[in-house]
Amino acid sequence: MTWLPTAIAIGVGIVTLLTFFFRLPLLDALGAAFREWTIVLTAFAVLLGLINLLAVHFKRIARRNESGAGYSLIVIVTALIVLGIGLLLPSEMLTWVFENMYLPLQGAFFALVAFFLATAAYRALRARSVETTVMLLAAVIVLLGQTPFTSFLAQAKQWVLFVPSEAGVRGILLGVALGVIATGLRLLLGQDRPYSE
Amino acid sequence: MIKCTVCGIQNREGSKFCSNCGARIAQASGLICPMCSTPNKVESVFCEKCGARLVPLTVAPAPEKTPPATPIKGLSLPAKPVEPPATKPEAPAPEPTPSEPTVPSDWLARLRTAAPSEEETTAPQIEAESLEEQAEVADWIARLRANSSFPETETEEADTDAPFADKPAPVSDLEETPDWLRPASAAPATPLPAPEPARADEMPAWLNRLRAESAPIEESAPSVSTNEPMPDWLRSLEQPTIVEPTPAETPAPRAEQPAAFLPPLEAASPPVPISEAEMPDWLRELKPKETETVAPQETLADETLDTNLESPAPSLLTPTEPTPTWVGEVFRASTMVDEDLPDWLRTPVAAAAAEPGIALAQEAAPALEQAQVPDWIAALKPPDHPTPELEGEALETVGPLAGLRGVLPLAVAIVEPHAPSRLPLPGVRSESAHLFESVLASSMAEAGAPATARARRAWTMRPVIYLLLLLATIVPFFLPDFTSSSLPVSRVPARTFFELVEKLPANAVVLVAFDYDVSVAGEMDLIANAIVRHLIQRRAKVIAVSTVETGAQLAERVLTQATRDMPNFRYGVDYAILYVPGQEAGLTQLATTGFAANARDWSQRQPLDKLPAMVGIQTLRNIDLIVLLPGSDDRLQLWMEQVRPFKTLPVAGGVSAAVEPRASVYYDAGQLDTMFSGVLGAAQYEVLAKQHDPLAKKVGAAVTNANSQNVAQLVLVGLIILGNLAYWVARAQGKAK
Repeated sequence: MTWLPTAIAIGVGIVTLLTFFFRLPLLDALGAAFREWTIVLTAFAVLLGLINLLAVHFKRIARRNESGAGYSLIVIVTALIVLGIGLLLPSEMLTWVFENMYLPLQGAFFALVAFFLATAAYRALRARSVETTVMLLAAVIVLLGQTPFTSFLAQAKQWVLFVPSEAGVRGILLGVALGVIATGLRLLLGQDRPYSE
Repeated sequence: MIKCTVCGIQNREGSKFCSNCGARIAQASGLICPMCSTPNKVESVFCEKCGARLVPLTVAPAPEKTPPATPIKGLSLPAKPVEPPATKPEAPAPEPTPSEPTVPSDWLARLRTAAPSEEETTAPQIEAESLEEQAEVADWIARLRANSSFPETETEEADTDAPFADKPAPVSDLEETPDWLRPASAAPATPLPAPEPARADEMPAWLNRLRAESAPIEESAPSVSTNEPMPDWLRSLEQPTIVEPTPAETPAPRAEQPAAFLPPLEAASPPVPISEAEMPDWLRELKPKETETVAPQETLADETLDTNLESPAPSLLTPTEPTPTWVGEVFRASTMVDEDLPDWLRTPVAAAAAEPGIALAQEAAPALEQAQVPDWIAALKPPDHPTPELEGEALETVGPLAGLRGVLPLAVAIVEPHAPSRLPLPGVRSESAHLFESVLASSMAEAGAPATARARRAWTMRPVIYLLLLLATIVPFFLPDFTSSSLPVSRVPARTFFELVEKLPANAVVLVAFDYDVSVAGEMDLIANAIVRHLIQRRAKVIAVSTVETGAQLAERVLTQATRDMPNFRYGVDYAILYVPGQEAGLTQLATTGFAANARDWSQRQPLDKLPAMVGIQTLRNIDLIVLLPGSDDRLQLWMEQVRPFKTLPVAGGVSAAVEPRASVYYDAGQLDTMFSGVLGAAQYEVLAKQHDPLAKKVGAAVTNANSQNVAQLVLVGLIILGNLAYWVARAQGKAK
């Protein structure tokens, strides 16, 4: 029966792909049903992720001598608290926890990146060679172009972003697209079967 | 079809044994693999089935004495004659002048004294035969030289009409005959009891036939029919190339011509004297003189042999050439035949070795000094000890390849580590690699610096940087607005976005995608707040959606703050918040089928059809504008790939500054109708909104944050310049020192 998952995956994939190219009532209905199933499965995947996370930390606590067991305990306790608040208490409580605990902590973590970036810029952006000099000039132009003090640098920043930077990003996107096509074909042809592993 | 050489039955191609008599079917011309018995082509070096080496590895001869050679391949079966090299003499040996004094070589003298019994058995015809052999000796030696990588000479084209087994091979034939064939040709002539025959199924069919016919053939050799089936290579021996037919070839049947160094064949071939009148001129010239000292017991054959051997040798046997000790090698080779042969042939070979002639030859062989062996012949001998490059390879212990190393090259190829490939790098790549190495080396050097120096540098620089950055971000919040008046808003992307919203009709429905998470909320909230405020001012109906788990919560937060000053803009009536699960599938479903009928909103968990804000809005066709607020590249890509191709409605983007390089690609391609980015774009949007609404009391939070960000960026640029100055000063000081 190992062929069954492969057959299902190929069939669903081909039907979904055809819905992008053809407008047929049967195809549309099948595609919509498959997408609905995918959404439900995605929700279950989130639930499975939560269960797996709690199980991993429970095991770490069970092995008492393992380092980091205290942090695992904190994770489990806070997860259960937030879960209880969301399920048992009014939504305002969950919003309060979100806005007064989760949001500031995440913002603080992200803000720390600015200090690390400043240190890295001080150490790395040095004109050691032609390449590093070009990178240094591009960084200075973009940084100063963000400021409203010089319109010339703002235009220069736009040029850097829309000409050389965009060229590189476009190349990356084209490569990614080709990779996605190849991966999709391998899945549709049954060459890759991640669902059966 | 293959015809069985024993019973004549036709067998299928590839058959190894006869389907009728069970005899092993000899392959006409090919090399039998000693490992798997697969027939291979004559020129094959390795077996095409198992990869076993068919040609043994030998020591290469000295390069200065090795002429360019045509390789002879094959070991266990006679190979096809290879084209002789250019050094082969075209004519027989130069006719010696009778008056010329001929001095026998030392090696020949020793050879003659070492083999007295053979001289007695030599037939008179050997006189002419030996002369012809002189020429043939030159031929095979020339080929032997040319093929110096092969330890044994190939089968010479015999100048006889009789089949190969019908006559005892002459000296050169014995030398050129492969070891496995020598007993077959010598055994019938031995007076000793026949050796115990090997089993018929273990022997090639042709050999069985030869064994069966050997005795009668000796008695009536001419009656052997050449039309009988036999292998090709034997048939090729049947049709020799007679370079120069001489009358000496005709007097006696070939079967009655014994080889000079073969066992006595008196019974089969009694000596027949040849009168001098019957001799051709060239042979008469070669006849020894009467004055020459001849041992009394020597026969005419011995005299002929002496004369032939003492006569001037062909060009290859001139006194300047190394002494041809090949004769000794012949007999020495006979002692090695047992280890070179398959098991089924060892018994007859052992019997043949016990014969007087062979035994005598074995005794004569040590008389040849090793120093007289030319290098090119010594190079043909298999090495006694494995060469250094073969020491690590497997040693064959059984079969005809026993004692050889490196027989299975496949295993060697697997075990042998591959040399790292060194591809030439282009100059640019090489320079980049050197630059990368120098950067790594500088980091490693800094990491390897003394702990005190690193600690001092950390105390001096890192806190300074952190402190400067902290002051640059905090102080502007306590300063009056100093950037809003200087912000350029005339030709900026935010103006395009602002004008697009301004053009929306009254009660337009705008889908705002809050696709960012908490980590970038500090930046994205400012953008979303500026846009949503403008939409609310325009009395547009806002449908906030998010594919991120925390996006709906953030949307609620932004909309709550934005509507705080506008109590008439109520949730459920003027705006709604939805969560779109399923990532790509959810967005595709939204783009194709619209909002699900049984879906509920995020804030009040009410069915969508019960929300006044969603009345008449089932699909994206009912949307006038889509505003994307992606906090990461993949979120923007998600919308561009899953939603944008289905709809032609305008799509605008307010993206994070980190997403701007990716968004610019879509904007440049027309997939995004308009976009702005970052805190600066949000501040510009707020300035534009304030300019459009004179009643607005103050600008939003984006302008204040832009002030802080501008100062922080200036500080960052100053730090970069400072770091470069320090670097160049240190570099100048280093050069000065």
